[in-house]
Amino acid sequence: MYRRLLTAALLAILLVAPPYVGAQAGLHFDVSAAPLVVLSGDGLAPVLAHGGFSLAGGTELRSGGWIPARVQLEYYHVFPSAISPAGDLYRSWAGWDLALAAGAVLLSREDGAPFGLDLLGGVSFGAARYPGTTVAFATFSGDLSLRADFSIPGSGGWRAVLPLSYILRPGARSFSAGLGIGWLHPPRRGAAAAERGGGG
Amino acid sequence: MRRPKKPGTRLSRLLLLAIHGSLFTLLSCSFEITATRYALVYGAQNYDHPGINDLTYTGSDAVDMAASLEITGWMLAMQAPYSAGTVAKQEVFDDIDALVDSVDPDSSVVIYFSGHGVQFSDGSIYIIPTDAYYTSGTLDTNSLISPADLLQRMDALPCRNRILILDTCYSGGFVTDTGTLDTAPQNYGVYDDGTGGSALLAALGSYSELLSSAFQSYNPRTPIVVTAAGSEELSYESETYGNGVFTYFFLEAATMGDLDGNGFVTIQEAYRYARERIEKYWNFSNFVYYEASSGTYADYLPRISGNARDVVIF
Repeated sequence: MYRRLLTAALLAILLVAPPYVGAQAGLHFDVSAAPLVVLSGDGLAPVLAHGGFSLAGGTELRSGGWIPARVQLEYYHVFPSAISPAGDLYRSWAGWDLALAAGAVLLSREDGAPFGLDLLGGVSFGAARYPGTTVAFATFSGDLSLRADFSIPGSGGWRAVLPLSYILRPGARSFSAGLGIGWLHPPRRGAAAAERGGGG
Repeated sequence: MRRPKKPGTRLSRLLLLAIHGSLFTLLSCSFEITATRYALVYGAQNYDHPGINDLTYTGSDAVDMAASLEITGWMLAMQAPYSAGTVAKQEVFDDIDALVDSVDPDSSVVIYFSGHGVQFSDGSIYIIPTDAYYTSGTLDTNSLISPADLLQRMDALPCRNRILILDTCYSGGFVTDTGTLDTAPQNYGVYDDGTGGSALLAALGSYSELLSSAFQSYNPRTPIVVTAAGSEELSYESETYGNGVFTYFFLEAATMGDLDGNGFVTIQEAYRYARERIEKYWNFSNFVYYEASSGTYADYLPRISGNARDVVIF
């Protein structure tokens, strides 16, 4: 069920978002930090909100208007949720995620847009634990992220990141949304840069 | 060698608490707990059979736990006086059964037991009520309380929050399966020198199994279980504290364990407080003592089940 939804979401991204061909090709590196708002539910107790944060570092391949592969390592910490009137809450958890994603470049500064805009979809495999305990578990999530890129083409710079995740974990499901800031390392220029311009 | 403390731990924890404190204020306006909360509290101290030695502080454990719970809004629901130091097996079951008609879906029920626990050579684990008896020279398991006995009984309670707190030897055997992994060995004393390794690395060793657990749905009513010791460890009482060591620190958490400063102490917070204090004040002094009779070291680690949910206890 979840896998089918994820595949459909990825296909929708790729079909709805015509990529700009002008984006610079090559490997890019970036780091980002985002405060998170997380909603958790287990089908019995009310859905309750947590706060949290994430710190991530990633690398991705850009080819024309596509981002065919992205790998990201992320540390995150989710604090205990608000308390329900019945006196229960969802526990804090923290851990590491390895995310694999792909996506499209919707807008590119190299083509005169005021900022770059990327849309990525993917999955994450995580190992987490409840802080202050020796109890560990695995997580799996379907991810979608929108990025507004304010970097100067060819020299790196800042970007805003909106990461969304639907997280499967033992005993509960969580939805996480963040609004963070990232730094894009200046990309290494590669031979693929010759693709730019297209027939001029 | 004892594992050295990481110098940045305290600073990073303070930072996390500061961030969480601000977020908590944003996310939760003022609230009060409106659900009814019931407590069954037992201290098994005076054992009927001469083959089982009496304990010294389990009666005090029950009295002190009952007082702490009552003052924070829990309703004591035992039918027999809890200060007598005697706990019959049927008495525990009758108390649980009597609550089935009283609780509503939003209620919480906490069951606390302090007393002896036993592990048999086949690995099976029981807690020992004071009316336990011997048959053919060994403890008769029919007179003991097994994890299945207790957890199935609790399963009949039609409320969403069921909590079991045990201060007995080997009580880690009562910790429920929630699709998570306790990365500390059940005979923690052997590894208390720092050779146990990282929790996340241990989790990676069983990653495919844990990942499939993330996809499964678990009964959200599965009891939250907190135990004084692992399934291969002893639990101790102490003249210094006048209580079981675990119970003493768990109760101390009622006044000192509010880690996020929101005015409530949850099971997770009380567990964490008790665990850290046991490490600091008990294990630090006792980790070198080897008990030949039980084949374990005299240090131990409280355990908690991996439920996604937590409950305010104090």
